[in-house]
Formats: sequence, structure tokens, C-alpha cells
Amino acid sequence: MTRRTLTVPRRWTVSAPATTALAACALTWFPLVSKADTWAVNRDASTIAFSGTHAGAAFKGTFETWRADIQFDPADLTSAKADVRVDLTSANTGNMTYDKTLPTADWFDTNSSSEGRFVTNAFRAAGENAFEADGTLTIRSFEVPVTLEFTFKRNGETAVLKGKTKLERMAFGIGKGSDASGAWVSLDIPVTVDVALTKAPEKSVASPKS
Amino acid sequence: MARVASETYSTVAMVLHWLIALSIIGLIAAGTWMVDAIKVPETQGQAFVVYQFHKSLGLTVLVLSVARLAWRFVKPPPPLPSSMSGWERFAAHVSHSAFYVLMIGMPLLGWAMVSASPLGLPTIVFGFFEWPHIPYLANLTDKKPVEDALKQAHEAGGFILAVLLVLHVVAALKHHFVNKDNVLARMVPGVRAPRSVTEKEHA
Repeated sequence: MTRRTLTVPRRWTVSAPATTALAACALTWFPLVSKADTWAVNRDASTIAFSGTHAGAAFKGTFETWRADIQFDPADLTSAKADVRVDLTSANTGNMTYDKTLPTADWFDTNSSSEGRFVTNAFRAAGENAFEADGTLTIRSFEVPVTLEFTFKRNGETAVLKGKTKLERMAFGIGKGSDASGAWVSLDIPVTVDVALTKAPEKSVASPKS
Repeated sequence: MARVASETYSTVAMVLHWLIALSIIGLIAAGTWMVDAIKVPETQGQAFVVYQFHKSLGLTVLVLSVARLAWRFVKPPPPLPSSMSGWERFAAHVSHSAFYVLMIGMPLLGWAMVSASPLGLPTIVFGFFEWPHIPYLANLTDKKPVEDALKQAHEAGGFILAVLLVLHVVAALKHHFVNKDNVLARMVPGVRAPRSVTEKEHA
């Protein structure tokens, strides 16, 4: 299997002179007005994983291809935001029967849309180094509110973000035709994220979202 | 120029016969067990695995049976013993033909059934490569009734195959122990026909 790697675009914070660029950004879906730290994902050390049971047997999988734009400063949660895009065709469970089934119409339906996307800008503290983010997860055109619980541990210019949430696959119509009751495939699909971050260098120019 | 038929089956025919025979026994056993086990939560997981194995094994029989049929034209099987009566020959030919129809037809039915399944589960042959669905059946808008009909035909075929298998074994044993001819021995490596020595003396 060829592994496609998407590079994480560098996201730049904005300094005072960049007002014209700022105006342009304000028109895009992702305005770059925050002062929160911007983080680049170290993809080789990061994982988005899902799990569940099928016919009583546990399965685990990861998404091979995804990108995340993260701005986060524990001291300034109001300006924190994250946008994660996952290539659903890159789901890999190590079981060929599952991997050939997941992209089909009743499951991820990747012919219609191959992207899963989680967007959030509502963060709150939930203990030491612990946070919660209320966001919207979109899969198969279903937009579902999802709360990600995570820890964020910063160590100088790097940080580690570990998070988890539990998805109800039927909220996205995943497997609706094959197994709507969960007799085969668990209705709850726990998802974990384990992300290694490096603080992106400060730049004096704003870059509109491409 | 008259062709002298061999007294025994060729090694290729014997290898194919026994591979197919073992596979068919495995298929009937697995198929009978799994259709019920898949409905019981405790055995559901194993049954799913057995289903995938059954699909792989069935496709193996399809390939081996087509090969065996082709091989028959390359190297025709040895003639039936001259001691067999007309109806016995007829029964032998009918049952052997029925075997070929089922050995090739049953995997095709199974393949059609899997292709028409609303679940759309892929067939990964022994976990190695994907065997495609039959496009026409996979693209039907209302698959369930088609799958059900094919399932019934596959089940009936399995039953007929099991009956045929029993008849085949009983007939082979009857040839060996009652008629004492070479019919069993020429397909079983290492087994000698009870009367082969005396026949040679008279020849």
C-alpha cells in the first residue's frame, strides 16, 4: 500500500503590521487573528486511532493520512482552535476484509466524500494539563457535535497532545444498512489521538488559508 | 491408431481428486456449522472467520475442478471395468457428471450469493488477495431477494453434493470389497485391487 503523506502547512501568527493580510484572512473560514501558539504536527510520531468490536472480536485501526492545524495555548483557551482533516480512504485495520469494506457506500462512502473533519474553537480546562474541546465532526455529510477530552503537555518548543472521544457510528449513518443495531459491529467507536507537536516559528506575515 | 487407455488414473488426476475431495468435505462441514453458528452470539466471531475460509476454499475447488475437467481431455480416465452392467455404467457416468456440475456450479452459486449480499463483504482469498464481486449482482438495487434465492439454491446444492458424496464412497467400497475390481485401487495410492493378480494370470 502506498502511503500518502500530507505535509502539515505552517500556520503563522499575525503581527501588527499585517493588517491588510488580516482583512483577507477574516473572510476565510479560518481567521488568523489569534495570538495562541501555533503547532506543527510531527506526523511520524502521531496517531489517530479507532477501535471497536466486530462479531465479538476487538479490532483496532489507524488513519494513515491526515493533517491538523492547531493553535493552542493553555493560558489563552479563548483563542485556541483546531481543524483536523482525515482521509477516510486511509483507514487501516490490518484486516483486509475490514479495510476493503470500510470505504464502501454503507460505511465511509468515500466515493461521495473521502474526508472526515473535526473543527473546534470551544476549549475549556478540565484539570491539570487536561482540557475538553467541543467541536463538530463531519463524516458522510453528517455534522455531529463531538467533545474531545485531551491532555496537553508542553516541554519547551514541543508538546504532546493525547485525546480521546467516543463516536456513535450511527450518528453518521456508518454501517446503517449492514448493521444498524450493533449486532455485529459495536455502535460505539472509541477514537484516540496521540499527537506530537512542535511549536511553529513566529512569522510576521499572515497566510490566507489556501 | 487405437489409443491404449491406462489402467489407472494419472498422478495429476489423483492429486486433483484428493485435494478436491478433502476440500468438499471441509466445505460441507464448515457450511453446515457456520449457517447456524453465525446466529449465536457466542460463536458469531468464529463463524465469521469460517465464512471467510469457506469462501476461499470454495473458490479453490472451482479452480481445481476446472483444472481437473480440462485434464480429463488431456488424459482421459481409465475405462470402467468390463464386468460392470449397462445400468451401472450409466449410474457411474451420471453421478460423475453431477459431481462436475456441482464442483463448478456450487462455487459459482456461492460467488453469486456473496456478490448479491447487501452486506457487500469483500472476498479475500485466504487473506491474500481480493476476489471481485460479480458486477451485475453487486450493482443490483434490491439485492436481498436475489441473495435469498441464491442462498436456497446453494444450500440445496450442498445437500445434493453430500448425498452424492456418500453414494460415491459407498460405490467405491462396493467395487473394492464386493466386486473386487480395480475401481477403488486405481484412485487410491498404495491400494491394490483385490483381483488384480488373478486377472493378470488369466490375461
